[in-house]
Order: sequence, then C-alpha cells, then structure tokens
Amino acid sequence: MSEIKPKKRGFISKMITDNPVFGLYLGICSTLAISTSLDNAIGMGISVIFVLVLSNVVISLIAPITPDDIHIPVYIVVIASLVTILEMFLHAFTPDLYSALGAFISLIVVNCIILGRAEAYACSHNIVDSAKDGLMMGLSYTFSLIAISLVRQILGTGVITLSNPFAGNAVVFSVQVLPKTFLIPFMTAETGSFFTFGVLAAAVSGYKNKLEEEEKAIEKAQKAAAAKAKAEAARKEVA
Amino acid sequence: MKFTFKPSPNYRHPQSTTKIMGYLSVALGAVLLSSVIWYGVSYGLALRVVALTLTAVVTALLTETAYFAFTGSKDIRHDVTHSYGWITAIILVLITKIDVSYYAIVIATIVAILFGKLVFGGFGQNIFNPAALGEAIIMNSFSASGAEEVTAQVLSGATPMAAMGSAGWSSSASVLENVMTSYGGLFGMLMGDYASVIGGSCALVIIAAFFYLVYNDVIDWHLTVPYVLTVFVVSLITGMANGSGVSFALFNVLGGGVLFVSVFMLTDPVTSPVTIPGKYIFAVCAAALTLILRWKAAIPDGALFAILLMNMLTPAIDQACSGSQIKDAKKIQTTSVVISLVAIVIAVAVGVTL
Amino acid sequence: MDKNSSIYKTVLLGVVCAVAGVLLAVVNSITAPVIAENEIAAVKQNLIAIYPDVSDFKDISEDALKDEETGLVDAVYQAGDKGYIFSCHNVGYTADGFTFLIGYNNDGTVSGYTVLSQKETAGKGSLAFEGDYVAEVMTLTAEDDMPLISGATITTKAVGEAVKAAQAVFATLQ
Repeated sequence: MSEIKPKKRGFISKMITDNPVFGLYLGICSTLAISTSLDNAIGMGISVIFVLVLSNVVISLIAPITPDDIHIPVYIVVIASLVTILEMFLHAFTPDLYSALGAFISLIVVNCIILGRAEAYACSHNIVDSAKDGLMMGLSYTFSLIAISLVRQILGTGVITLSNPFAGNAVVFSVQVLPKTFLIPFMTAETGSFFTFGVLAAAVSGYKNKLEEEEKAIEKAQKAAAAKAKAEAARKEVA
Repeated sequence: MKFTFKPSPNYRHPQSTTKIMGYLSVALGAVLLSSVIWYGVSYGLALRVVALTLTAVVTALLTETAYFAFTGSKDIRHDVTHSYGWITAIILVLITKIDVSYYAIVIATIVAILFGKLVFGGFGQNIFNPAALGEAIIMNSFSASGAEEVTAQVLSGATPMAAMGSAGWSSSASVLENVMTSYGGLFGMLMGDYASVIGGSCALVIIAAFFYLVYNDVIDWHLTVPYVLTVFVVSLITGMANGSGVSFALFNVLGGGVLFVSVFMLTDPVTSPVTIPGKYIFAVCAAALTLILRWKAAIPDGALFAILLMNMLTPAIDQACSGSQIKDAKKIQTTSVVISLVAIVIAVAVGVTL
Repeated sequence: MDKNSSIYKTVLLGVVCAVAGVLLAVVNSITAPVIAENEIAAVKQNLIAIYPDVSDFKDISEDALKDEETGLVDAVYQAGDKGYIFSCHNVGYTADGFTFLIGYNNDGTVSGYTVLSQKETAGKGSLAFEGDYVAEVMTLTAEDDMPLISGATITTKAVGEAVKAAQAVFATLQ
C-alpha cells in the first residue's frame, strides 16, 4: 500500500501563496499606485528585484559582523544607497519609466518587503540562499503587480501595450482587447486600484483556504492509513 | 464581516422586512411614475426612463443570482428575493441624470450591488448606501460619456445646482433671481418642471411619499426632518447675510435632490444609527456636509457624498450613543446636541464666507 | 575586537557609509551628464515644435523672471529673433496642476500653445488643452484674455491666470 504524499506544489502555486503583496500584505502602497499599466508593473518589478537581491546579498555578508544595536541604520544605509543608484540609472537611461514611476522609486527604500526580508531571512542565511529568497520574493511581487495592472489596464483603457523603456518608449506591441465603448474609466484611477486589489486578495485567500483544506484532508487520510497499518500489524502479531 | 455585535437594525423592527420593502417599492414606484410622465410629456423620453430602470433592475438581479450561485447558496431564489436588489437599482436610476448611458448604469449597478452590499455580507450588513456608491461611480467615471443626443436635448442648460455653481454660489438676491427664473421660480422648482436627476424633480411627489412612508411606519422621520430643517436653517442664515433670505433657503431645500435623499437614502435603517440621539447627529451632520460640499467643492450633488461620509461614521456614532438608556441618557443627549451644534456652526461659517 | 565596543560600531558605520558614498559618487558621475542631456533634449523638442525654423533657443529665464511675482512662469526661452516661449504652470481642478508652453511672436501674436502635462477631468477640463480651444488661442494676441469654456471654468480660469503672468513678462521683454 503506497504512502499518501501531499501534492507537490508547483512554482506558480508557490508564487500565489507566498506572495508578499497578497499573502503578507507588504508593499501595498506602491502596488496600488504603480499598477496602472503593464510597462509600469514590469519596470517597478524589475527595480524591486534588483534592489531586493542585491540588498539580501550584501546584508547576508555584513550581518555576521554587525552588532545588533546598530543593525537597522546599517541595513538602511545599504538599502538606500542601492535604491539611489537604481534611481540614477533609471533617470539617465530610461527617463520615461522614471517619470512614470516618479516618487515611488525612492519609496522602494521604505518598501516593507525589502527591510522585512533583510531582517527575517538575509541576516541569518548564506549568500546563495539569500539571493534566491530575494529573487523569489521579487518575482512574486512582480507577478502580483502584473496581475493587478493587466486587470486595470484592460478594463480601464482597453489596450495592452508593452513599450521598450530603453528606446524612448517605442511600442513593442499593442493589442486592443476591449472596444472603446466598454471602458470603465475609474479602473485606471485610485478607485479601481482598491477594488482590484480587494478582489484579487480575496481570490488568493480563497485559494489558500482550499489548499489548507486539501492538506487537512490528506493529513486525516494519512492518520487513518497509519492507524489501519498499526491495527494490521497488531493482528498479525497475535495470529 | 459585521462591525457591530448587535443584530442588524432592521431585524428589530416590529414590521416584517418584506412588508417594509413593499411599502418602499410603492413609494419609489410613485416617484418613478411621476418622472416617467414628466420626461414623456416634456421630451418624449418616457421610454428611456423605463428602459434604464429595467436595465438596472435586471442587472441587479443577475448580479445577485451569479453571486449566490458562485458562493454555493442552497436556495438561490430565496436569497435573491430577500436581498431586495431591485430597490437599490431603482434608487440608483432615480438619482442619475437622464443622459446616462446604458453601459454606465450596468457597471454602476454591478459595483453598487457587489461591492456596496454583497461583499459586506448581503442585505442588512452593508456599511455604505449601495445606490449612493453606484451613483458616485457614475459621477466619477461616466459623466462625460452620456448619450449625446439626449444631453443636447435635455441638459443643454445646466441643472439648478450646477448653474448656481458657475455663478459662484453667491446668495445675493439678484444672482439668485437670475438662476431661478430659468427654472420657473420657486413654484417651478416645487413642481419639478426642470431636468436634473431622473427622480429628483417633483418635490410634491416626494413630500407625499414621505408622509405615506411615515404613516406606514417604514421610515423614521427623526432622520428626514432634522436633515431638511438643518439645510433650511443654515441656508436661511447664509441667505439673510446676503439679502436673499428665505428664497435662498428654499432653493437649497428644493434643489440638488435634498428631498429625495432625505426620504429614501438617509432613512435606510441599515446604514444609519440606531438610537434617536444618534439619528439627530447623523442627520444634522449630513446636512451640514451637504451644504459645505455643495457650496465649496465643485460637486453639485453634495448630498450623495455627505451620505457616504456619514455612513462611514455610523458605527462610531452608534458606539458614542450606546449605553443604558436611563443612566447615560444625559451624557448621550449632551453629546448629540454638542456635535449637532458644532456641525451647524461650521456650515454657517462656510456659508457666510461664500 | 569586541563586536559590542563603541569603537567597533563607529568604525563599522563609518566604513559602510564611506563605501556607500564612493559608490554613489561613481554612479553619479556616470549618469549625471546623461540626465542633463535628456532634459535639454526634451524641452528642445517642444520648443522646435513651435518655431521649426529656429535653431538657437536661449534660456533667458534668470533675467526675464527676476521681477516675476506670481511664480506661475517657470522658464522663458528666446527663439532666435522671432519671439519668446513661456513655460507656465498652474493648478486647475485636480490638485496635480498642469504645465504648458505659450509662445508670442515679437509682434504680439500667439505663435504656439502646447500642453506639457495635465491631469484635468477628461472631457471637461482637458478641453482647455485640445483641438478647438488651441485653435482659438492661436488667433489671439499678447493683449487678449484667454477664453473661458463653460463646464470647465475652473481649468480655463487657471490657464488664463498663468497666461496673464506670461504676458506681463512678455511686455517687459518688448
């Protein structure tokens, strides 16, 4: 009789549940403000991945030599410098993305995801693991940004566009998904961001509940199987 | 998620919910009918009013059916009929302008029912007045995309509130005269012989509906009367400061949907406070907010947003006024009087500095 | 060395800040020139759109705006010997405000009116920066007031205010 193993969770499933935005409700401020178009979402997401991975790596390096009571200023200096470097590069080489993201680039410094992962993970793990964690968190953040942006962009402007920020916003492709008369203008405004976020957060929460129930059912089945096996063994002994 | 641990207010009412909703439907029907007749006689648009209403009601019912099916309800028919979505739909249509596009009504109804009512737990659990939320969505997003021929035909002159708005809300007698003559003077405003929102025009019908509903114990006059009275008094003081006195006060009461809102939307027992002192606070503050928003912000329909804001404060008001009715009566009364006076003073201050 | 001694902490903080500072200085030296170039290019594009034949635009903001009190005019460009372009901003209906360019030829006629950024209500305030209104403005002079659009009075009033300030500066340049 085979053992009942819990289902192995795929990459996408992990990204949905271990999501800093929908799972831990971190970094919501920039999420709500930025996610008006696919370009913004991808731009912001890659920026955050850049900062997150590098800050995790650096902090995992200096954490062992940093005494506890000054670790916060040290981490903040690291994170702030990384963000400023990022900002300067964006301003110089992708000016359209820079003006679209505006103040929220500087706000990456106080994005709770960065400092949160630094404190919770990077300071107690080695470089490779920290880098991987930064990458995963950054990817799921980007993933949620893209999800919200797609909904808002499609319902609010009807087109999905992708532009190349390095080439002066040259449009790579633009697809009109919704005809002009069926647009819902408030989706591109703040109203839409809150609605979309609420609905998606509810969906993720529902998905997580479903997974939990499945796990519980599997646990019960495992216990029952184990009890059965024990009973069988006991019978065999007596016989 | 419930915000209070008391049972929903309307479950405490001696009358059954079904009966209350029945009377409400009759009153709303009367207002709707008067509007259909007026739009039919003046512009031949009776059919449009009916079509808009039908669209909204059907959308509301479909949204609720879909929601209940999706969340695995066991008796969808029962849930939908006891959710009274069509009341929200009718009220929403009555507070919109006639040139709203069908698509806008559909989206606004879906948002109003789904996000205004269903996600909070359904009928009896919502915090915000769903129809006000739907109309806020329309005003926010769809005000520029109305059906153009209808706009040109009906609303080429602005609504009274908007006209006053461009005239800067000066309560001087001459400006008021100018604005009011294009609407048939005070009598014209009473009879609703002008186009603004679909249900807002005919004051007489709304006043009749008020008496009908109070007589049948459906709405609480403790909400309507203080609201209208406060609007009247504050505009009176403002008007007297600038020479137009009573006519300015009546203008503010008869226009901008104040009467409709005070009878049908302010009195929703689910979203307004339970205790009587609380109701006074609610009504007076809503009136003060309506006037401030109307005069200072470029929002002609100040009443809507005033209601939404006060809905937000209802749980707080309930908590402030809760307590043993006998022991804490004095304290609660003082609270409500003080808050009401503060609201009135602020509104008057804003008005006088117009 | 004891990790918890104050000397260690001071040294560590100092080293971290010094390294960060050096890195930032390096990156800045790489990116600052690129940024400056981009900014000039962006503004130049708009100026050329108004005066396509002029090749030498001079930024005369410092002198021209010395006595400017309203603060609504951000920059003044001299377009060769043809006229002047004023970059103005104001706040209309939305709190973000708007910026636009208005150009006057030396004889006082309007040479151009282009919006740089605006977030006014679509279909109402935004009309102050679109087709018909722009065409109307192009027929005016440096003495005229900006027309009002009913239904967008707040926005057009704000535009008028900013243009008046530009006209005042223009008068001092004549």
